Order: sequence, then C-alpha cells, then structure tokens
Amino acid sequence: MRKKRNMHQLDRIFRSVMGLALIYLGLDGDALTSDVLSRVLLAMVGVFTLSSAISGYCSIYHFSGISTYKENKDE
Amino acid sequence: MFFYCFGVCTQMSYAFTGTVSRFKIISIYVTITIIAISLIAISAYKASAELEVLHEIDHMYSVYDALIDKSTVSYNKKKSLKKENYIASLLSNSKYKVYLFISGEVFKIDNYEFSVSDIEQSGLNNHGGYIARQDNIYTWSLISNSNLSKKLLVIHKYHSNGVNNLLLAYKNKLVIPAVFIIWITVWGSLILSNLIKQITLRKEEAEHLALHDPLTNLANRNLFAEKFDEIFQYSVRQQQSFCLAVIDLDKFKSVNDVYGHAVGDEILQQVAVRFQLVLRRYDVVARLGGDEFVVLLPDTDRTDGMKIYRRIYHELTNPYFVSGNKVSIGASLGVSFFPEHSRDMNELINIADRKMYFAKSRNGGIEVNGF
Repeated sequence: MRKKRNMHQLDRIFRSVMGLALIYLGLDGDALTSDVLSRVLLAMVGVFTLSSAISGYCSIYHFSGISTYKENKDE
Repeated sequence: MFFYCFGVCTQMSYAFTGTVSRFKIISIYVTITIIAISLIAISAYKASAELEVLHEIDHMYSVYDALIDKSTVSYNKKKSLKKENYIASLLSNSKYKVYLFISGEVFKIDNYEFSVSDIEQSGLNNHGGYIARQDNIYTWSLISNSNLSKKLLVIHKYHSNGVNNLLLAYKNKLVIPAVFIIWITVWGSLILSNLIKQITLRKEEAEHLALHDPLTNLANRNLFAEKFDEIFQYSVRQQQSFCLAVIDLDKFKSVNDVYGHAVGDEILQQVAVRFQLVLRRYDVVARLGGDEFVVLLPDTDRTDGMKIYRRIYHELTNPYFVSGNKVSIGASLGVSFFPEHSRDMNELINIADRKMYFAKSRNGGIEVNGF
C-alpha cells in the first residue's frame, strides 16, 4: 500500500536539519554525551526524523490523525 | 519570508486544531511521566550516594587489610595493650583514624561519641558501615587478621563529592533518556487520544445507524417507538395533547417502475428534506419502511396539528425535480389525536393507519377520525 504524504514542506526541512543534527550528536562521542545508550537513542530518533523528512510521511502523524500536508495550498 | 513562515505556521497550527482536546490527555501523561522520572532520579541519587559511601568503606578496608598483613609479625610479638595501641597509632594518619576495637569502649571523634553498639548497628556490609552525625558522615571499617584476636577500627570523616558530581553523571547518562521518554509519552498520548476518538466515532456511527434510516437519515421504527413512548408518558403525566399522522406516498411504486429505483430513492430523500422544512425542532418524523412515514407532534392540539399536516401535505404533493425529470406524486395522511381518540398508544397508531388507508382509497388527502 502506498503511503500518503502527511508532512508540509517546511516540516520536512525542519526535520531534515533536526535529523542530521541528532545523528551527528549520536555519532560524535564528544559532542553532547559520552554515554552509549544516550547516543544510540539520539541516533535512532535522528534516523527516524530524517527518514520521515525524506519520504514526507510520518507514521506517528498517521496514527495520531495529524497531517500538516493538507494545509499546504502551494502543492 | 517572515510572513510566509508565519502563514505556514498558522496553517500548521490549524492542522493541529483537531488535537486541542488532546492536550488535556497529553498534559496528564506528560505530568505523570515527569513525576515518575523525578521519583526515579531521586531514588537514583540516593542509591548513588550510598554506593559512593560503600565504595569508600571498601577502599578503607582494602588499604588497611593490606597494612595489617605487613605488620602482623611485629604485632604478634608485642602482646601488651600498650603495644597494640601503638600499632593502631602507627596506622593512623591525617585522613584515617585507627583504634583498637574493644567491646564496651566509646570512641570520641570531633566531639561526637561513638559507642561500639553504634558501630555494630550501622554496618552496611562485612567490611563496615557509616554513622551520620548532624551534617557529617563517618565511615568506618572493622579489620581483623586471621592471626589476631582483636580488631582494628578505621574511621574516616567522609566528604562526598556532592550533588555537583552526581549532576554531571546525570547530565551524561540520564537527561537524554529522560527527554526520550517524555518525547515517546507525548506521541504515545497523541496516538492513544486519536484511537479513543476513532472508537467513539465508530460507536456513535453504529448507534446512529441502529436508530436511523440510512437512505433518508430520518428516525427508523425503533427510534420512533422509543420517542413515541417517551412523548406518550410525558403527555399523560402533564395532561398534554399530541397529534399522530401516518403518511403514505401515492403513486410512488409507478415512479420506481417508470424512472427506476435511483430516482425513487432521491424522491424519498427530498421527502425527508420537505418534512424538516415544515416540522418544529421537537417534532418526530420517522420512516416506517418503503414509502410510509409517521409524524408525531408533541404538545400540539387539534387546530395547530391540522395546520401542520396540511402544510406537510402541500409540500409532499408539490412536484419533484430529479435528474431532469419533473415527477408528481400524491400523499395520504391518516390522523389521530391524543387524548381525544384514544388513551392507548397502539390504538392511536391503528386509528391513524386505518384513516390513511381510507384517504388512499379516496385518491389521497388528509383523513381524521370522526369526520
């Protein structure tokens, strides 16, 4: 089943930046924390955020009944 | 650019408007989570502090256990109490105070007295324990060599590295998992509230479907029976009158035969709309099945009731425009009044039903019992 987009363009840009930042913080041991568990969590959330930004579909939005995509009249 | 961003943010906030009621659920969940995290953090802090003390006791024990082993030979040779105390004073330094442990003795450190029973009762493990005196903590360790009949008590005024040190550990290990848990909680509560909303909607839909006619959205026979019973009981108690009409559309079957069932269905939908145009908010109209309807007018006397039924008849017999066709049908109304015609619910329906068939036999119109 094709997943319908549910994210606005601005949402996707914001998530891309956030996702990359979180992945960087997760991979770089000196950036924020040296704790392995914390870094794994940061990287996990980062990957999730970035992948949702790339696909334009957020599964959490879907199950929460939220969509920012439909409000975008430019698209 | 600013206005574009502002506009988009406003639009996005509108997208979340449906979730406004969800914020109550989110705030409850987040509050519970924050309380839980705080309690866990406090417990973790206390456990960490005690762990630090235990580490200190173990350290004392390991250091002095090794020292006693080295001095065993000379110690064994000097049996006098004086010499034993001498050994203890030798092992004492600025950090640790060492005493010969004798039952019943009281030790005095920094103006605080420690009895042997205090020490025995405050043990944390086999190596030692700690005693709190006001803001000070004194760790102690009781060390004996297998060759010794007596023990040495090592006491240390303990200085914790303090909250700051623990906060550093918290920042490094606890903050991000805690934020992650809150993040999960927010989304989890959003998903949960959405599920509750969906279930509530489905339940309301199912209830609506059980009590309404799906084609016209009018009340069905079940809902009418419920409403009729309520209105009847209320009218009996309050000594109010009400009017009941059974309505059947004339020539409707031929419409279905000529134009098809789709046109027939659309006419029924238009009939439902025309009922709503005439009736008051508290009147009851139901589709009993096919082209048969019933209209109940609570708290209405004969004169007002007949006015409304005439308007209904007029509306129903006006032509219908469906899919480019002008369709004309008739209507037969049989009317009964409470309490004038009967004080029995079933009898009132039977009277209206009989009168409707009588009207039908006369090619439509309104028929009232007794006329």
